[in-house]
Amino acid sequence: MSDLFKKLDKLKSNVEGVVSQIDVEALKSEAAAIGSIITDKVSEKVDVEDVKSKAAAVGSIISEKAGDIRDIAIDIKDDINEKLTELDRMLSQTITEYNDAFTLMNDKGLQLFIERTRAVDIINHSEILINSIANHPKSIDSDFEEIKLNRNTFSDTCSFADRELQAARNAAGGAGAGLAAGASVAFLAPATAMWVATTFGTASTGVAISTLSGAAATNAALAWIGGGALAAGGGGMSAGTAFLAMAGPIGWSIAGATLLTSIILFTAKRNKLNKEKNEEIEAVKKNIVIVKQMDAEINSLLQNTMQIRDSLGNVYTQNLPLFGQDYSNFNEEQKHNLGALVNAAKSLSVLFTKTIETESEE
Amino acid sequence: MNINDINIEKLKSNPLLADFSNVFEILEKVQNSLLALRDKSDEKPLTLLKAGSVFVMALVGKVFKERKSPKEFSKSDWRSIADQVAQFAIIQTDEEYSVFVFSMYSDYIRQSVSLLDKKVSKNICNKITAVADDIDGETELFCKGEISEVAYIEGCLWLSLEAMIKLLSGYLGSIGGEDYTELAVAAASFCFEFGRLTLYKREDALLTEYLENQKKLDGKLKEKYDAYINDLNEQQQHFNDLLNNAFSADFRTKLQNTASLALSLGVPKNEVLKSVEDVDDFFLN
Repeated sequence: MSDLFKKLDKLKSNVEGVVSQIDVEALKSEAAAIGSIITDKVSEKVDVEDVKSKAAAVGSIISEKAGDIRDIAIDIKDDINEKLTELDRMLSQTITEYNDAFTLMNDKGLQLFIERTRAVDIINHSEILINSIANHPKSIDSDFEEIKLNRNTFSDTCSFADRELQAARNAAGGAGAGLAAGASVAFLAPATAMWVATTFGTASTGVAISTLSGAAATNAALAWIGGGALAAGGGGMSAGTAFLAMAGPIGWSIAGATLLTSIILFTAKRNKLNKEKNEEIEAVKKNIVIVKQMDAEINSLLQNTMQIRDSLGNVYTQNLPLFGQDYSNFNEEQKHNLGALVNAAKSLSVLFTKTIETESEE
Repeated sequence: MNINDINIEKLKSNPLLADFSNVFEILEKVQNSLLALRDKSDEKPLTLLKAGSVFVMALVGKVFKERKSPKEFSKSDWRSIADQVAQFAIIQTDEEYSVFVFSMYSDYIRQSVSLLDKKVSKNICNKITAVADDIDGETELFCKGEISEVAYIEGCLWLSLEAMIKLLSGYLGSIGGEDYTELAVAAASFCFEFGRLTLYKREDALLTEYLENQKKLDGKLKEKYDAYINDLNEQQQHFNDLLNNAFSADFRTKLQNTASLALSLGVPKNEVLKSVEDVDDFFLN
C-alpha cells in the first residue's frame, strides 16, 4: 500500500508540474475569443421568412412547369391515339385486302380446273384421231391434279382489342389489390392505425391527441379511430376506405407503388401488343403480294390453256377428214398438219402439269 | 374494442371461420396473384385477386363500421362478408369491377384529404380533391359509353397515382410548414408529369417507327410485285408470239412453229415433231 501512495504522490507532482506550465491567462483569452465568435454567429439571424417566400416562389414556378409538361403529355397522348387508330385501320384494311385477293385467286383456280377438264376432251379426241392413223398406239397424257390453295388466317383488330382489354382489366385488378394491400398493412399492423390517430387525430375535447400521453392518448386515439375517421364514410366498402385512409403515408405509398406497377405492366403489355400488331400487318402485306403473284400466274396459265385448247380444236377439225386413212398416201401438207396436231396436243398436255410455285409464306 | 385483437392469426383460429377456410386461402393468395397477373392472360388469377381485395375491404369495413373485433363476429357477419365477395368480385362483370375499384379510389382519396386537411393548406386539399372529381368524371363518361373501358382504366390509373403522390408529398412537405408543402407537392407533381411524359414519348416513338416502316415496306413490296408482273408479262408476250405463229395458215411453217411452242412449254425434246421425217417416224413406227 505504501508503494501505491508513493506512486500517487509522484503522479500528483507530475500533474502539478504540467498544470503549472499551462498559460492559464492565454487559455482564458482564447476561450473568450471563441465564445465571441459563437455569439456573433448566433446573433446572425437566418431570415426564415425570406427562405419561406423563396420556397413558395420556386414551388409556384415548378407547379407551372408541371402544368406545361402535362399539356405536352396530353398532346402526345392524342397523337398516340391517332397512331393507334391508324395501325388498327391498317390491320383491318390489309386483312380485308388479303381475303379479297385470295378469293379472286381461288376463283381463278377454279376456272383453271374447269378449263383443264374441258381440255381433256379435245386431247382424248386428238388421241383417237392419231391412233386411227398411226401404225402403233400412241398415248397423250391428260391427267392433272387440282391446284391446292391454302388461305392463311391472321389475328384481326378484335383479337388485339380483346387482349388489350384483358391487360387493362388486370391493371384494374392490380389497382384494387393495392387498396386491399394498404388495408392489410393497417389491418395487420394496428400500431400503424394508432400512430396515425395519435399524429392526426383530435380528442373529443378538441385537443390534438399528439399532445396527450398515456391512457388518455390511447383512449382518445381509439375513439377517434372508431368515430372520427368514419365521419365522411358510410358502410361496407366506404368504411373500409375510411380505415385505409388512416394508414396515411403507408397506405398511400403501398397504393401508389401498386398503381405504378400496374401502369408500367399495362404499358409494357400494350407496347408488346402494338409490336405484334405491326408484325401482323407486315405479314399480311407480304402474303397479299404472294397471293397476287399467284393470281397472276394462275391467270397466265388459264389464258394459255384456253388459247391452246382453241387452237388444238381448230387443228383437230382440220385433220378430221384424215381419220382412219392410210398414212403412206398422205401428201406433205397433210403430214405437216398432222405433225402440228401432235405438237399442239402435247403442248396442251404439258400445261396440265404446270403448278403454281409459292414462296415460303411468312 | 382492443385494436390489438385484429390479427390474421386470431381470425384463422376462430372456430366460426371453419366454413370460410376458402376465403382465407383467397386472402393469402392476394399478393402472389398480383405478380401472376403480369404474365398470365387467363381469368383465374384476376378472379382470385378481385376476391381477395374485396374480402379485405369488406372485413376492415365491417370492423370499423360496427366497431367490433373479428373475434366478436357471428356467423351472419362472416356470411355478409362472403356475400360481398360474391357480389363485387364474382357476380359483377369485369367492367363493373373496374368501376367499383376506381369508385373506391375516389372515396379513398377524399377520406385521405380529410385526414390531411389539418396539416396542409386548403389549396393543396382542393387540388387533391379535384383529382378525385376527375376520377368520378371518367367513371361517368365510361358509364355513358363515351370512352372505352381501356381508356377509362388507363385514365383512372394515372389519376389515382397522381393523387397518391400528391397526398404523400403533401404529408412529407407539411413537416416543414405550409410554404414547404407547396414546394413539395409542386416538385412531386413535376416528377410525376415528367415520368408520364417519358412513358408517353416512348410509346409515341415506337408507333411512329412502326408507321414509317410500314410505308417503306409498301414501297418495297410494290417494287417486288411490279418486277414480278413485268417478268410474267414478258414471258406471256413471248408465248403469245409463239402461239400466233404456231397456227398460221402456211402449212410449211406450222410444223416448225408448233414445235417451237411445244419446246418452250417444256415438252421433252425427243417427243417434239420438228420435220416431216419426225412425223413419218411417229406414225409409221
